[in-house]
Amino acid sequence: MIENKIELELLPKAPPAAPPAPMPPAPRAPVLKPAVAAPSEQAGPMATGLLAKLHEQRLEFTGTGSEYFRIWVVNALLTLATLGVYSAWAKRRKASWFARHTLLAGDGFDFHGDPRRILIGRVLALALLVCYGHAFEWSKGAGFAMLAVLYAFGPMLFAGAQRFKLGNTSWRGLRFGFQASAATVYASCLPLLVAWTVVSVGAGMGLGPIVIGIAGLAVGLLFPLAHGWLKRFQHRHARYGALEFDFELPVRKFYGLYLTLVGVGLLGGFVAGVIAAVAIGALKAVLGAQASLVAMFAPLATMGVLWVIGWPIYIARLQKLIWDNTRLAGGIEFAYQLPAFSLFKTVMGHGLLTVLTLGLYWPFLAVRIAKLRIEGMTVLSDEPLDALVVRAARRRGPGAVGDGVADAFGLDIGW
Amino acid sequence: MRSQSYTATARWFDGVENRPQEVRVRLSRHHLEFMPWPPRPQASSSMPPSEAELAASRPSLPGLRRYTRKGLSVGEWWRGSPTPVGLPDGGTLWVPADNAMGRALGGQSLTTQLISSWAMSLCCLVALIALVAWFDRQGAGLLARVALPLVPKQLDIAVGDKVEQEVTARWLKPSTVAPARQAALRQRFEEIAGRTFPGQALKLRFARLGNSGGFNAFALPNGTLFLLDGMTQDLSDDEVMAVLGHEAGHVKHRHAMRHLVQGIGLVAVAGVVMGDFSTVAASSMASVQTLRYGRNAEREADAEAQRLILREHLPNETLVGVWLKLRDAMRREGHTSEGVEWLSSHPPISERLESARRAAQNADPVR
Repeated sequence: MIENKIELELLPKAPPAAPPAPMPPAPRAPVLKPAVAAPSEQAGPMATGLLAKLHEQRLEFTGTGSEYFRIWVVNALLTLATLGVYSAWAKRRKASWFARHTLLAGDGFDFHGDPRRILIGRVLALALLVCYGHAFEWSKGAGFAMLAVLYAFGPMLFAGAQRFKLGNTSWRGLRFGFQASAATVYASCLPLLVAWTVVSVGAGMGLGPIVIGIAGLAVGLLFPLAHGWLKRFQHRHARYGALEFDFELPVRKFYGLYLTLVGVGLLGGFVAGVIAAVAIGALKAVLGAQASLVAMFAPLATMGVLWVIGWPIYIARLQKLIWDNTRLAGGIEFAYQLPAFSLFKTVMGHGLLTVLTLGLYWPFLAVRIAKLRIEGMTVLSDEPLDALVVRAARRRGPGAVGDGVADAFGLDIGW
Repeated sequence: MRSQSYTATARWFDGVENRPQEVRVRLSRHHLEFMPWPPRPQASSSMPPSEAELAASRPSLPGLRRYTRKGLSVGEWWRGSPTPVGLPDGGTLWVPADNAMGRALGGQSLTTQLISSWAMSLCCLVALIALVAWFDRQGAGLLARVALPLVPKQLDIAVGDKVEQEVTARWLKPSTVAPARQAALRQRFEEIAGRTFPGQALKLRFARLGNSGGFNAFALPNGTLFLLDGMTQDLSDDEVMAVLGHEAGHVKHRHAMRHLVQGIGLVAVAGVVMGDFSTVAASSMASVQTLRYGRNAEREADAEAQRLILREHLPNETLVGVWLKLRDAMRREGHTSEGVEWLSSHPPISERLESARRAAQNADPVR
């Protein structure tokens, strides 16, 4: 699940080949063709949505379920037969398969990650999680020591994973990239990390339920903001070749997204609860005592229904929110259009097939979802993408010391 | 196969700019070489260079690049998709889809051949299912047998102590069974345990759970056996001994730890196969299987109870009596039906009754 989420989110993200940097005075990007950037865009970033871009280029996904099925089977078999070691190679294959079947202006993306680093990253992440998960059971001291380790290295690891993902993704022979100062890394990742750990830390310290409850509430209220910060962090420091991405954080829209979700959750939970109650009543009449067993599944079923309804809405809105506010130097913007309903239909219909086939249909479903999500993105530019020549970020030479140090963390920690 | 040479028109990116250039590529046994195509103005010929031409006029052809095949990093070959060839200078060459050159470069590994063929992939699927099924039937048990001796006994004890503290503090109330009966039961059990479970540090504790006292007994991995009042009151002394034999069986076979080890293995396997799909699906599959292992552990513990009955010359039907009383207790609490077996942590009571009856009949009447 985790992996999936990360990857799918990544894919549409990776392709960001081209949106616009509307700020007239300080284009962050050494674009080759300066003419592109500015003259008409006096209004600055806020107005960019109103300025029609002349050229639209939609992402295209050409992978088929039948091919992914074979890849999935071979990957799973080899992973199992090697007791998990092969999973890193499997992940590389999967990531490059999705990347190479994602086309922008006729050219595919590619993924170059070194499986050995993926493997190291996985072992490291597993070790961290296991230690963190049990540290407070051993002793308070161990718990806090583990927490310190997590706070100290977590953000760097996250940034490293980001660098790994983007730095190993390419389009038209140029790599994407990610570069952020240590201060930015900590400032952007710590809030979410604290939010993630605060409740368990509270419990570990033996604080009362009220204190923990208040902390949990605060986390809930601030979560959308922290999520927005993280997205801004990911998108502001990314680049394609020498072109830099930028991201304008719409705080209110992040809150709007989460409010919508809460609304959907409440409404859906209520409706599902009523339906479940009626259904169980009916079942009791038919099945007698067996019904109590069925009732056990009611909360589970309700959760399932909520997820099936909520997840498409979340994904569709989040991606739109993110991409509508992301731009790339060189006058490139993005538009993201994914009808939540078509995602919902796919998850429903094909999800059912997946369940009925005991999961064997899963690769087909994965490809359908990926296609919907990837093809929801359009790259808008002032001139045709083919005419926009982008240069590589910088010659890779032995001189780049800072890069080398940072690369110690350039591991993939996704699952 | 490698000695064959291939030619193709491909897209080349130099890695400095993202501008594509059409090139004519030739792949020979040890080298890959290409030049812009159509040739730049200086080149006079309008025909693609023949192999002989390429070979002969190498130094003079403008823009010709030549690499050894060893230095290339080739992406996997997949039907219908162009094959990327990473060049040592940072450039990339995309060999068009379904060109023989792409396959020659990136399609030779065993995995790409497995993936490109449906027949082979289906064989892999069969192997995968077989592997999962084997792990489920044998592998998990094997893993537990291999791994369990590596888990130090102290861990069982530490975990048990911890749980004992928790349960006592949070759930259990002091027993209201008469101290005299407690003492008698304890003494009798200690004698029996010394004979039937030599070397096991077993300790008997009495407690209440809820209003009815709780018709149950359970064992912790540190050797503490809890007997709840509901059961102590309903059962005869012989029956209590049989129940304790069952619980001591759990301790003897280290079922709790085995459960843990098997559970970890199961989650790992389910995670590999299904994790890509959903961790929820994976872990629910794993828990259903874990329950099955749990039922098998119960059967193993029942056998220990039966052994105790035989050894201590208790009436052959003792365990049958226990199950009948258990069934009554369950009915009193409103469980009228058996439920669904694969969702239960214990075998169905009818099955346990049946096997207790069978064991009673088969027991040697003399001994």
